[in-house]
Amino acid sequence: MGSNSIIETRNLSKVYKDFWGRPKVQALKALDLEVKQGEIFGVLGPNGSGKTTTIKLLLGLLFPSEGEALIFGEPTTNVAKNERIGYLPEETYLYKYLNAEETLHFYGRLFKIPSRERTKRVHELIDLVGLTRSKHRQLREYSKGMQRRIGLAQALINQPELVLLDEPTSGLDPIGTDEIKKLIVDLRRQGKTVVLSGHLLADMQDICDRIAILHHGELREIGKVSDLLTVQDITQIKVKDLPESAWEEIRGVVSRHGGEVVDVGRPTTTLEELFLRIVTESDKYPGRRRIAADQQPTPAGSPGPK
Amino acid sequence: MPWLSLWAQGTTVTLPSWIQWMIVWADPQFTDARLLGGFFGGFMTWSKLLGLFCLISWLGTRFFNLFLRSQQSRSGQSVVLNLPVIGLLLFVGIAILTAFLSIVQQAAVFPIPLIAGYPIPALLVGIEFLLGFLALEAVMWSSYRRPQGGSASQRGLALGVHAALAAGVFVIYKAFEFNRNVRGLKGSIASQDWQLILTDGLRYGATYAGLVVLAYFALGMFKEALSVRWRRLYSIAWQTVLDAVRRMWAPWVVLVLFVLFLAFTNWFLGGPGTRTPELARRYIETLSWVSSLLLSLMILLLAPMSLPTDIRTQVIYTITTKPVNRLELIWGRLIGYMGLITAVLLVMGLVSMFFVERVVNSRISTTREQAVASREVGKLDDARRSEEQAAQLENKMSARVPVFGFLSFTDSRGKARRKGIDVGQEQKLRSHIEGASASKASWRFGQAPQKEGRTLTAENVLPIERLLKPGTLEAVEDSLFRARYDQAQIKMNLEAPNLKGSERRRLEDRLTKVDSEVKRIQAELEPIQKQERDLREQIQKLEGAGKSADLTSLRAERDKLHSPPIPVEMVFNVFRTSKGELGEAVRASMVVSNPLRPDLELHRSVFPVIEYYTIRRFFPSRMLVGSMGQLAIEIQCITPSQFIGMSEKDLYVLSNQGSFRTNYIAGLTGVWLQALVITSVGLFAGTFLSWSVAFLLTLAVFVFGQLAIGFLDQFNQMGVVGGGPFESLIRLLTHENLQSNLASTPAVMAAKSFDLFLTPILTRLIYVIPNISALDVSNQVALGFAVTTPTLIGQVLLGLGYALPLTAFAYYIFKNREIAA
Ligand SMILES: Nc1ncnc2c1ncn2[C@@H]1O[C@H](COP(=O)(O)OP(=O)(O)O)[C@@H](O)[C@H]1O
Ligand SMILES: [Mg+2]
Repeated sequence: MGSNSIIETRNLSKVYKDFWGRPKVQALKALDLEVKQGEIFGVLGPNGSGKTTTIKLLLGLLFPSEGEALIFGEPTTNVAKNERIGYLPEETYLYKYLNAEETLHFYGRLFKIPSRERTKRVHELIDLVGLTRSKHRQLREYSKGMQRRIGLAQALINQPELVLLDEPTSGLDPIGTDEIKKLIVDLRRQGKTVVLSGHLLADMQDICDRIAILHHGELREIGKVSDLLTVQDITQIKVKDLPESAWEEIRGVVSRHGGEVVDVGRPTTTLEELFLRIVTESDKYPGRRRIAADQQPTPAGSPGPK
Repeated sequence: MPWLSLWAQGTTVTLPSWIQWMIVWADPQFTDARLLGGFFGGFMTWSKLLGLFCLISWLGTRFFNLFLRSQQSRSGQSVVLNLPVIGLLLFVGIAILTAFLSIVQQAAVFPIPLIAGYPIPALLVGIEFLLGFLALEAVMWSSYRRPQGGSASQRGLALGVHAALAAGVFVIYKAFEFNRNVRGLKGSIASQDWQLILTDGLRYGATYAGLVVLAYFALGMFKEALSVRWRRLYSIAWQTVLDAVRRMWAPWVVLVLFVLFLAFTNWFLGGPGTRTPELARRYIETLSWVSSLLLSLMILLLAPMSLPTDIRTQVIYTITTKPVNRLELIWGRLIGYMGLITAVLLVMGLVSMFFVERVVNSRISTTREQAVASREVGKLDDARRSEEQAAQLENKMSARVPVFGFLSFTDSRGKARRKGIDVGQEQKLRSHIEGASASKASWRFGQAPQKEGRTLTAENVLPIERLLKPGTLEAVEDSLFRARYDQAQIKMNLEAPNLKGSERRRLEDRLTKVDSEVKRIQAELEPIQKQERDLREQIQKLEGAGKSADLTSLRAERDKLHSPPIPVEMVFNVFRTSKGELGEAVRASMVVSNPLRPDLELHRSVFPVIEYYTIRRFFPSRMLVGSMGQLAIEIQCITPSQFIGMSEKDLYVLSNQGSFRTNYIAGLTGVWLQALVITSVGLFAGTFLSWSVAFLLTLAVFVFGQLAIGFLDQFNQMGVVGGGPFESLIRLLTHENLQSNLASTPAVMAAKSFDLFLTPILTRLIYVIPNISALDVSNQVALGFAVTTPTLIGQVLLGLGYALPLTAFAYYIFKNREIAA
């Protein structure tokens, strides 16, 4: 194992038991993982595949039924290591009767941070997650997305070296999702290690360095995102302004070389990207309906206000 | 243990002191206050009980873990009837069977055959021992892995426990051997003796083992406590308070309820239905009860819910993944709740205090007015009664401290005795003195009797500076005496041969200081003496002339120059012999003298003794001048052929300490400590139970600890008379009384068997329930007695004695709890 590995698990398994100690669910089976310093590591899998269980095991909230996990080379129940960890749970569980500022101060006091520094960070973080205007409102009045944001802020209060985010984008609108993605990339730039879970490939693919795919508690795939997504036996050609008549010729060329054309058509974008573009554009030109791509005015002739 | 009696009876031959100490550490009976006294004895008993409790908990958890592990068979299916459960059932079954057989044997219903010369019950007990032993060994050595606490330290602990058991047997063996040597016995030890040595040794060993486990836990706790940081405690405490205030609105609800109660109390107690002397007591007791109840209810609703709620709402995830240790989560909450309680209690306490003062003072002045009115219309008896009532009520609004003397007796032939006459009644503690004889009871204050090896404590010395009012004739005279004693002492020291130069100079310096002090006091004293003399003469003159109007004011002026008389209170019982006159009051005399001032005239008074009634007499404050805190009070019975009985604490001199207000506030400590214990119980329950069950458990502890502990205690003693719970049930159903022998029907014998098995468990239950009612001191405040510092320290230690172990247990449970499961 490399000296710069932040998380290591060996044969990590979890069986949930009932009150009498009888096994109920095997939620995780013999997981071997290693996460290196400075990585963004994604844990991907459908609902109930064991992502949350994995993260809880890493944090010592659950005890492994078998195997072990080490964080910073230490056992998960070691409390001192938490000084360097930030955690955003799957759902935002915070005290509802505290306001955003009080919440961050409450968590901040649990760390060894001088009080002036703490106050500074609280303000910065509230700003960062965009809650400045509602920082004096109690959390019970917050919407789910706002709670998610304050949850993220509490996870970062100690400027952690390792951040564990359990479905960080759940409950967020696409803008929020995008902001969080940017924030995560930012964390990597600061040299931090991030572990995040999610079930949407699209959310993960553009930010994760490596991804592990879980299914029914078993590790199915692990590797670099680009490696995982590359389909080895298919070559993609992207062409612009090609007349339809040219297609037949190309088909001929392909079959002459013994290949087979699988699909010809126009590329589509994901709905999410579309939505995103709409929102960014409406920010630029407020009050205007979106114009289809081909009718878009050239930027030079844009009548819209700056 | 017959061979221990040598030591217990304090005969000349004593066991070597290390064995004595080992025995004291092993046997709970040997650490009561009489033997070791004070806090150390209490601490010892506390450690032993706690140790045994730790041992049981440790074995219990190990057993439970063993059970959980064997739940998963290799195939992953569950098995309910696994080895540990079968073992436990077998153990309990045999125990009940044994009990049953021995009951049958006692009742001699049918003969029980012997097997190999042993009765079957005895054999079963042997099997039980063996089974239990094997099970304990299995449990102790079973290794289970948990992320915390490797099995290595657990194995170490198991070794320690075995060493402790061996030590127990060794100590008993040594004591036995010593005893044999003393008696000059030779030869090998008989097998019955071995049996005794083994069983008693294991019993002692169990106490040692408990102490070992306690030390193990305490060490772990200590290590954890070292990493506790105030900022984290503060953060958790702060959040706890906000939770109570913002989410539960607890303090507001409590205060509103309190105001309602206050109004109700006033309506209920304030009327003329409450006797005047009782007014203060009724108010103080009721209000303190209400405060305590409201606070307890508040804490009952808050503390047991605190952790379960955080676990249920999963806020605990974000907290335990911060660098907080679990002890901080518990102590932080405790601190938060106690802060809240302190604030609420102070508000309630101050409001109650001013309220009581207002009500009582107004009652005192109306009673005084009544007295004046009665006097004017010539109803002197009524007037005196009213005055007496007002005085009694005033008494309750103070903080009096009883000062106790050392009691000794003189018998009817004038010989000194340690005890008086035993009249053969049930009064074990009281001794009696005979009427119209030389026999008397003497209380000596300020000096311990030399022979009996008793020591002087602060509560035996009269606090002169509090008893004599500053600036009065007596107080100034007393300080003159003290200065003169000093003077004489220094002069004597100066006369010592071969005194060093420096020492001589120091003494001479001090002497000049004391000399000038004496002069100063004399100068202060003279005008007071002169004034007093003048007033006395004037009064004598007026008394001759019979002018009463001026007299009262003059007398009042003269009284101001004197310290008020000193109250003595006593409670005696009367033992009448048939020789005495029936219906005649038994009378006693009290003689007060100052042992350091033989020149002073004795104070003598005679009064009737009303049995078990607090008699209040006074002696003039001049008796204390120059007494250095010493005094002698002698009681004699005057009425012939009658006896009065007393024990040492039945007579005391009263002094005042601080004001009613400070005493009232000090009395709130009791309520505060009760809340502390309940909070600890609630937090403890919350670490492993859901909030509803935790709430019920805390409630049960509260009810039992507050109301039923006396009942449980009684049940413990009653067990001897009417049998255990099952037998009592049968008596209840068959309308049999407690003493009769029940017929040996199968039902009765089954009941008796269950009782034999259950009663030892039930009687020990009482040690588990915190004695919450014992923490209350409001009774003392209500009777106008000061809550003294030693009392307070004792109460605080008792409260902590419960709270600390509870939080420690809470910590261990919580630490090993899988929070997200
Ligand atoms: N506390 C629990 N008790 C019993 N089963 C649980 C518990 N938590 C999760 N599980 C089960 O474990 C499996 C994995 O759950 P989880 O780790 O939450 O999945 P994911 O986060 O990938 O959606 C699921 O089948 C789930 O039902
Ligand atoms: Mg999940």
